[in-house]
Amino acid sequence: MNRLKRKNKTSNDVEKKGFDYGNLLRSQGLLLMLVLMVIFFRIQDPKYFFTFDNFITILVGATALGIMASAQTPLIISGGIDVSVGSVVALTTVVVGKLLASGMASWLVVVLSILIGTSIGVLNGFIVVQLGVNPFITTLGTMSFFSGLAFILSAGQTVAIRAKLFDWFLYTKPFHIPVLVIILVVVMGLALFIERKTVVGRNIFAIGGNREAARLSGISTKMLPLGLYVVSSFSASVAGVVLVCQLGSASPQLGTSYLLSVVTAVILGGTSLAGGRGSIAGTAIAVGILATLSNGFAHLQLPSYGQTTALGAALIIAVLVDQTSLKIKQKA
Amino acid sequence: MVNSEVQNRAPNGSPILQLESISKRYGGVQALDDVSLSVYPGEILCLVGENGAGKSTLASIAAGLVTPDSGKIYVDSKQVTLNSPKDAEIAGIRLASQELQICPELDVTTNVLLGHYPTKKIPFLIDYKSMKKKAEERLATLGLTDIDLDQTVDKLPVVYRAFVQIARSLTPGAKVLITDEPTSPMSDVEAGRLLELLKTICAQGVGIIFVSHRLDEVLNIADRVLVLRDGKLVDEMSKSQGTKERIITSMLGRTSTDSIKSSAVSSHDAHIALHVRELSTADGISDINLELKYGEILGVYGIAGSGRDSLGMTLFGSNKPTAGSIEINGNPIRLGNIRAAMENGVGYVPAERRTQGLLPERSIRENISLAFLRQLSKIGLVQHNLEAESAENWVKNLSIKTENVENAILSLSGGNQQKVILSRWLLTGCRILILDDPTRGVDIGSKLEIYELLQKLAHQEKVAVLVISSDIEEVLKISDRVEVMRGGRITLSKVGPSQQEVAHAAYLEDAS
Repeated sequence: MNRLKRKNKTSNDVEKKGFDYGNLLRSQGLLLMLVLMVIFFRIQDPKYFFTFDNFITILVGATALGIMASAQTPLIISGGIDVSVGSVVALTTVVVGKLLASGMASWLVVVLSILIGTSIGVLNGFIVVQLGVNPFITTLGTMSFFSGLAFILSAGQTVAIRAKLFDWFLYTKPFHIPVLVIILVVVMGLALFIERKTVVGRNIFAIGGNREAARLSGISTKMLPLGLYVVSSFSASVAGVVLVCQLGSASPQLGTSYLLSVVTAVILGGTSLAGGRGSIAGTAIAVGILATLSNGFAHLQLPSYGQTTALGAALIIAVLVDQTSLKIKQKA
Repeated sequence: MVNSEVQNRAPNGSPILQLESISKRYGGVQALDDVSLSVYPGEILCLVGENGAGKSTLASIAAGLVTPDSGKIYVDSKQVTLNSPKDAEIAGIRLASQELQICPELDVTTNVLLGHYPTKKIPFLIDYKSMKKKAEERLATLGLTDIDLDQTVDKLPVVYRAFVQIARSLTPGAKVLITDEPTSPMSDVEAGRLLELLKTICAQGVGIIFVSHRLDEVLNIADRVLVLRDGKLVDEMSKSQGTKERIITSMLGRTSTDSIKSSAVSSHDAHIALHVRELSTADGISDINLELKYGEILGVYGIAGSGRDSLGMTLFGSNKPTAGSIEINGNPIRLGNIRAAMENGVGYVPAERRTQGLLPERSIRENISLAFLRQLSKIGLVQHNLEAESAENWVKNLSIKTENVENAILSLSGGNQQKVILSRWLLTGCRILILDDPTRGVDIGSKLEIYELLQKLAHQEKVAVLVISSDIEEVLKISDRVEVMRGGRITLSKVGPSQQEVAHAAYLEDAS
């Protein structure tokens, strides 16, 4: 049925230059959502919400989510998914707490805990790519396994963490901008660059769009996806360290809030769960929406579960807008 | 008003379905312009035309999938509006589409009755016993008694899937059956069986609208042939008036260029590009020996299941053979490794354009550069200008019909999409080009252009071209030498064989 319609289109129908305008339309719709939200909170809280300090606070709050979403976006574009990131966050913070308690140097603690977190990605990638298990099921399994492990290691206890290195991350502010925010911007910029400019970025789209066509064009359809799982876990363990800095504590319960919010941000940003379509730009705006929402709710002293409700509504509206704009594009 | 001219030719009685002065516009393109047609009970009406001529749009309008901008539709001389497939179904019009709308994981019984299951006395409880009986009866009325009802459809050969699809669409009350290119993924033998089925159906009084690219089968079964060109009805002929030349002339709006004849190349002294020795695979090809020389087109003909697809995949390194060796330019290459094949200058145009070739979401540019992106980049960064230039070059060289390489690949017709896949490999500069069914689902105009291109590549640029095909005429027309496969083996190897020889080797026992 689709084919019948498509066949009748000719090249005159689609006027496009540069890259995907549909994508731009989608991210503009999202941008509109973000702007409306900012206006709403500005009206509700005229005093403090719309200030530079609060802007920075929002960005700091978005750091962990933004780092993970930057890695999740290309993974989903390639046709994969990683829902285990929350458990990697939890495990990393617990490992940081354990190692610090053992008296290890804090920089070594950071390196080791990130290595341990990243190794989960190697496991995910191996199971999905080499053994051919469905990525959702695989990462659902590792999520359950490693969040359980985080609870066992910590005996369910939250421990306070003090280390100079972590304070440095949190309180150093070149040009009034915290190091954490700089890290976020660098990570997102790098992801954007890889997506737009590199062969790897293009191959990710090719694999997600048509795996067999990519394979028959000599593109490695195993190494690249495997690498994306590793990068996803790496990003989650970095996010774990970031959270330890921000909260000054380690807890096996930390990751639970990231269970689905990373995937939510990516989908909200217009990336297709079916693969082959999506953008870091969209993800960045979606992360902005999520972070602003949580900040705004805090300012208005609204209950945090109201935030989840608003997020759910936003996600469904965004996906509807996305699909409608695609349909319009296809009919044009 | 009824088209009197057509009615005069009525084979028997009044038409079941009439479309009158149908027009449909898509954006800037007039897909259909004032087209009228009638279908009579028990006749097979064939719609032919190049891709984009409007046949599929016309079929979709008759099936209620697309609403026309203007024009009237009559069923049994009563005017109807078909706003949805449901409306068409109520009116007695059934569509068995190109896409074969079946549920591959479900069994034959379920697929045949999909959505119309018999229930027991308590509603919602499916009566499986009578269900199986009903499906069996439905298939039996079509003369299909050799289908295993419990088999899941994905395990059936493609022609049986089409049978199931047709059986399913022929629910009680069917007056008109529309089939849109059902035979394009089939071998000649399979297509032949499908045509027999269509004849059985029309003998039961159903009118059939049959859309096809294959002129042989059109001439074989049509009672009348309608030719569309650029959205207009340009010719109508009865079975006795129909000839291939007349159809092609009407379709193209010019005389057929049958000028393409393989110019016999003296390839005795040419270098051997590809030397295959005693090649066998797990999926059925055994003990294949082949030589492919630079500057020649070697045609490999075989019906579905002959191992022809597997041969192409194996030579390109997509399948790992169980035995044998492949030498390129005299050096053995790593088997079962696509990269190794590509590095040795092999290119491969796969049989299934949509599932194996296209990146459906991406632009023409990205589809062309796919296999050569690393070479178009520096330290991992794609050089966008170089990439765009290369793509534009090939769009021009192969006269791909588009204004801009940034247009979506799906905005192109099937023929132009295929030229994009060809460009992908020509861009890599490959010296050995393997093509599996390069003109499947491609309109006649593009087909001729592809033939010309392949001959130019082989005879002028001395590329070694291996064309695997399920189209006997294609193989005979363009090949310098022909190999025929049957049951995973080569059964004939000859310069300039006759059609009978090829058919004999492909369907019957060894001809050698």
